[in-house]
Amino acid sequence: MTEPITPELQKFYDIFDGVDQSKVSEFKDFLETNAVNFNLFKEGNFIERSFPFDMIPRIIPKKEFDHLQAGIVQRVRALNAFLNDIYTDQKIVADGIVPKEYIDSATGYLPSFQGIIPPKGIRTHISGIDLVKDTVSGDWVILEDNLRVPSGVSYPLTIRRAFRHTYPEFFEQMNISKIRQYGMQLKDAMDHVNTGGLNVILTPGRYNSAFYEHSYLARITGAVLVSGDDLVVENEVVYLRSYNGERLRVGAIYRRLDDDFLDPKEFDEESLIGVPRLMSAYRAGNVAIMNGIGNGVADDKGIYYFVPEMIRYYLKEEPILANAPTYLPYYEKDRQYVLENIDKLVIKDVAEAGGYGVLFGNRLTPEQREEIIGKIIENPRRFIAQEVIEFYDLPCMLNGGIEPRKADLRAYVIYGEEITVSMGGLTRYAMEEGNYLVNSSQGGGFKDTWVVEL
Amino acid sequence: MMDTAITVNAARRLYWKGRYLQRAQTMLKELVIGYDNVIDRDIDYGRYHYAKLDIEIDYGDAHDFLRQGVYGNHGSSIASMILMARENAIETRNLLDERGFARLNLIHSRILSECGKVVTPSMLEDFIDDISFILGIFSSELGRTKAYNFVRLGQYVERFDLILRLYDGFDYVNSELDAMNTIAKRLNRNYQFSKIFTSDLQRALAIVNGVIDRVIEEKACILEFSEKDVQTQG
Repeated sequence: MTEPITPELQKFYDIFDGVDQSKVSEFKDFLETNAVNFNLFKEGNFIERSFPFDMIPRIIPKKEFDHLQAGIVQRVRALNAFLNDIYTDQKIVADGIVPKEYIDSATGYLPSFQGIIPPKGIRTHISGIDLVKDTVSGDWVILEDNLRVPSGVSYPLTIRRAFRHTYPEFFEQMNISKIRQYGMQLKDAMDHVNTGGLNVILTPGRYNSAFYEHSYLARITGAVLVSGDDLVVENEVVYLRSYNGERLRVGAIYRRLDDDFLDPKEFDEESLIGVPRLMSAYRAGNVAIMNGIGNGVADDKGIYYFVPEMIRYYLKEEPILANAPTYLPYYEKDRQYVLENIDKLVIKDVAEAGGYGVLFGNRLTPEQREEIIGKIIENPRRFIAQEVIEFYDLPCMLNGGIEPRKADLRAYVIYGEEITVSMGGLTRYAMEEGNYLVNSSQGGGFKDTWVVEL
Repeated sequence: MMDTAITVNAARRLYWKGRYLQRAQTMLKELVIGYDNVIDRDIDYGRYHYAKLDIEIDYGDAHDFLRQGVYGNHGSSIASMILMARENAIETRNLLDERGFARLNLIHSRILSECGKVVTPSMLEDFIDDISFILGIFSSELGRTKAYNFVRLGQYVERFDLILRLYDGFDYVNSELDAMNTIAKRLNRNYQFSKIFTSDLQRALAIVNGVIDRVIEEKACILEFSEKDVQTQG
């Protein structure tokens, strides 16, 4: 079902009817010429691929976005409080809100960092909150919290500029919220936690799928783009190896690699992209690492179930935005429901991400059905089950016409001196009609997201 | 664009980007000149010319000569130099003007897409113009930054290298050397000016090509292992 046309979207169409539509092709040229890539690895091969773009933006009325913003800020506050609690007193466990097993068995939980307080107590510096709009209730529903290395923000930021150059009419005639302050907000957030020294963005390198983004963020924040071998740690202080032999102190690292690869002396000893002894500097409080170490415990798919309770527990507030209805096979009652209703549920492997490990019950063969049931019974903690959310399709310019495609929204949140939600976000759409997987790594495309006040 | 700290890796990539772009531009010009010489003077002109770069090429006529220069299986083919320039540019694109990167990307795409077509002098002249545009963009937008100076340093070194190899231009290189030295000194205050007091080509090339190793002090950045680390490793 396609989202009903709002007055804001109608205004877009009205303007679109009057502009030179042949210029739409300029967007594709722009993305290719500028190598605005979201690269893929397929069958062991690195494929440079520009991120497919659809020019019809997702348009969210300002009032609706204000509601989203309030809910997202509330959620990020609670998740940050949860992380601080988990890595210190674990009161939420002691009070019986979250079972200890769920903490201890979360792959992202790093007990060796128990008691480490990051600068200013901030761990969720940059969050990507995934939402969809439910066709039944008409409400936005949170699908996932990404608190480790959420990517994608550079694409709407990049295309917005191109859009303004190609079709200024929309920006002259519609009151579209600006997003270009993101770079300054990110820089401010880095400065806020910086322990004294340079801000750097740590990239796994040119062959990472989101390398374009790493480079882009370095440009707009003025941070230095570094690889692991550009940094050294001496006496628990991180330094950048400048070309002229100087070592420049580093105060904040926006890392774009997972915990496992950050420090071969602490985590995966075969990691060639990390910085040996980086964790010693972090533990000593001599460098801020964004996002925090061990954040994976909070965006674990199993922990997601408990976020509404976290909001009540830490903030003493009712959640503004709802989770998708979720069942934990870990609980006997939920497990029974899941096993009896598997045909109408989505089963997610909590260890997977990027659209992998997601099974739609109604598409399983009898053998696959039996196999997944066996796995759930054997290891219930490994799975969650969710009701299929019938979320809206959005109109996309495809195959010479306008066709509906499932689309979600990733909202970007920066936690600095205050918590700020970027007034837009990345709308991702599935390439095939009826497909619910919109992830970039599954070959999906993107749209800009306009927050509009008429 | 603000000036920023430059890592060892970024410095090398910027330098090599400058070198590859300069080499591509110079070799494109040499190909255009060579095309006429192959037609008018000596069919083997191209073979002799590339031999000065220690490269063996084979071709049947003038168009084939251009094809070998652009797509030939050797390190100085235009396609491989543009590829290498682009690789270095991708990794340092945050330090560069976006339009320069986009133009380089376009050249790369065009070289790939026209691989099966006849290579003409006018196509090469388009590429020469494109590279001039890229270098012009960098010079206008990054005039005061270290990043641009690494690109310029790479250009100078490559230019001198080719002048020495192709034309034995010792006098010219010596007269221009201080321009390169000035940039090197600006990048690293410890740098000592280079001079060429020899007529031996290999020694002269070693002096010119060694400049970057006196600007980038990689060794000074490497920390010695502490006793604790050695124990951990053992």
